Amino acid sequence: MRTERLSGVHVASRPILGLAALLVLISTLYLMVGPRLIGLDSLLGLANGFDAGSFDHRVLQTIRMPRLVAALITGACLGLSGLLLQGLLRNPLGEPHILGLNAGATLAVVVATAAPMGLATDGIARPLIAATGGGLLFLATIVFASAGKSGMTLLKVTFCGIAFSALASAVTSAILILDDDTLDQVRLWMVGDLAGARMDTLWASSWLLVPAVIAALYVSSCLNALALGDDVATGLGISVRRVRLIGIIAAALFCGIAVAIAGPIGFVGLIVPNLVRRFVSDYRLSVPLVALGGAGLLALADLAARLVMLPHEIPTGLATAFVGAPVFIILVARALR
Amino acid sequence: MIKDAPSRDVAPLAAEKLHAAFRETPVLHDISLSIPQNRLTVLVGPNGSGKSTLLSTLSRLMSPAKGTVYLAGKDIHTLPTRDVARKLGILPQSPVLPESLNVYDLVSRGRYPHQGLFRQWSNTDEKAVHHAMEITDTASFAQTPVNALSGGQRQRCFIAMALAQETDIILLDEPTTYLDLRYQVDVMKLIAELCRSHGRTIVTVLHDLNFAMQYADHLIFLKDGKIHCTIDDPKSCSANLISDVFSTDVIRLVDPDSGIPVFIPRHNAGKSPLPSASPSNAAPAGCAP
Repeated sequence: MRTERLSGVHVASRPILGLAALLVLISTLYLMVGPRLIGLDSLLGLANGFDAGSFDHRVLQTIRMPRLVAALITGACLGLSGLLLQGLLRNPLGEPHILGLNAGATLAVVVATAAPMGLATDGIARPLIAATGGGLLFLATIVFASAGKSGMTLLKVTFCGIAFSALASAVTSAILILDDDTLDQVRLWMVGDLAGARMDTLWASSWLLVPAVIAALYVSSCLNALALGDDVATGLGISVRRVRLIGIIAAALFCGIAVAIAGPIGFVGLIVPNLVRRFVSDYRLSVPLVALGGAGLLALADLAARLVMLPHEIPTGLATAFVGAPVFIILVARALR
Repeated sequence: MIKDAPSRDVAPLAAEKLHAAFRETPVLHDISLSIPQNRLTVLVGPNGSGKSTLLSTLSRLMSPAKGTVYLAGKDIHTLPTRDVARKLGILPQSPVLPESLNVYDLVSRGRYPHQGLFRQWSNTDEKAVHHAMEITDTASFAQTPVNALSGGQRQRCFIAMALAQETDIILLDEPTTYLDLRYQVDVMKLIAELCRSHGRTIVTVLHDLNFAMQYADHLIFLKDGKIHCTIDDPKSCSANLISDVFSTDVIRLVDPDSGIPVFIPRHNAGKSPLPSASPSNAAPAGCAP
């Protein structure tokens, strides 16, 4: 890296544009490839206007495009949730799936679905319920992980997260065993599959993206200072407690949106931010990169999930786990070294 | 309450009847002090005497249990933390060092308090960063990852970050810890230079008594969480005083170069604490006559 130092923005735009181009490529591939191959001409034709007579157009309009949008938004949210958690806790293993947010969000949605008085589980209520559940379980995780003399170490947070995830999953399973109706409603969504992505939730969630993104941008400038330790950050004029609170709310919102749309999908929030942070130390630049990277990775994973066992599909969460679990093990090994 | 305009004799940083506790254990008792402007103040004292706690409390990293810290005459805890950060910088003892962070990026993080949502990176920021890297002689490795540098270079980078913050007051917690002798001298010379030529007011905790003697303009001795005494001229420091503060007998010598006293512990004073062991297993092989 011998580039002449320009002020932030100029240098920053190159990797962002690069990743954006890659994302366009992945999206095009995603729309074209499937059980039925769709040519580029049909795809471009759709840009000129929907042709009801074209079978390709109908497949694109009703199946692939909504699912692509769901994949992109969910992937970006999972990535950002992981990035915020990693930055706030200074912990490379920070990820909504590992630290209990996903399990808490799932439990909250299942409880709301099963509730006898019939809580609203559609529209904007769904991501909000999910975010609340995820945030609460995460709070429990950090409260327990902070107990004891050594304070909140990397391993304690991780173990507490895994333990609380297991607990929440057990409760979720118990509810579903006792309540067949609820099980039927959430079966596909529960395993973390974009095939079950809920479009109504997708649109309603876009509203929640606005505050979440604003919070993430605010927090990201503070994360640069927080990366040097709480004391340095305080010395630089950051109210560490306030930043942590806002950051955790944003992470829970992102996780809630992702879980409400697609169910609990793991490891995107682990892989992408860790990869980006290896090359980029500035969190303000990491935010757009992780959003693009997360969207691209989940679209790619979902494409793989649709194709590897044709004519059958595997759940998207399974595909991310195949790639993500080894990455998790590598990161744990590095953290323990 | 009187508004603004600190009169000329207001100390840049002062404490009044400060009490502080660390995890419920009282550490500081009734500390009142005032830090002289454009001088290098050094806090010395034995382990557990409260030096670091005092520095943390002065820098508002810790809240006092009782008493007040005044920054240019105003209670530091009532000022917005960002305003404080434009006047007072603090370099803690062991900052976290993220992977893949290069020197330029580290130093530029010191500019945080001068930026805002609508006030992004500017020429002033750029100049401050370059100036800080020049003074600390770190400009030549601006693009090197900080964790690839030696301990001494790394410490200079962190000092550069504190300088880029452009505060009149800088507090440093044991800036020479873990450094080799040569780097300790480097860092101390730099710190002294910052006070003398760059108009900074610096307060630092130092572990090494003789370094404190050599470089300090103002010495504060702490013992058991209280100020034992304060001196302005290291030359006036007696062996008795040091023996008192550190609860160990010392010999006072004088550095022929500077005339400043040097204190060394008296190793053979009185009875040795252990009855002399049999010589066969006492001395390591290499030391045998």
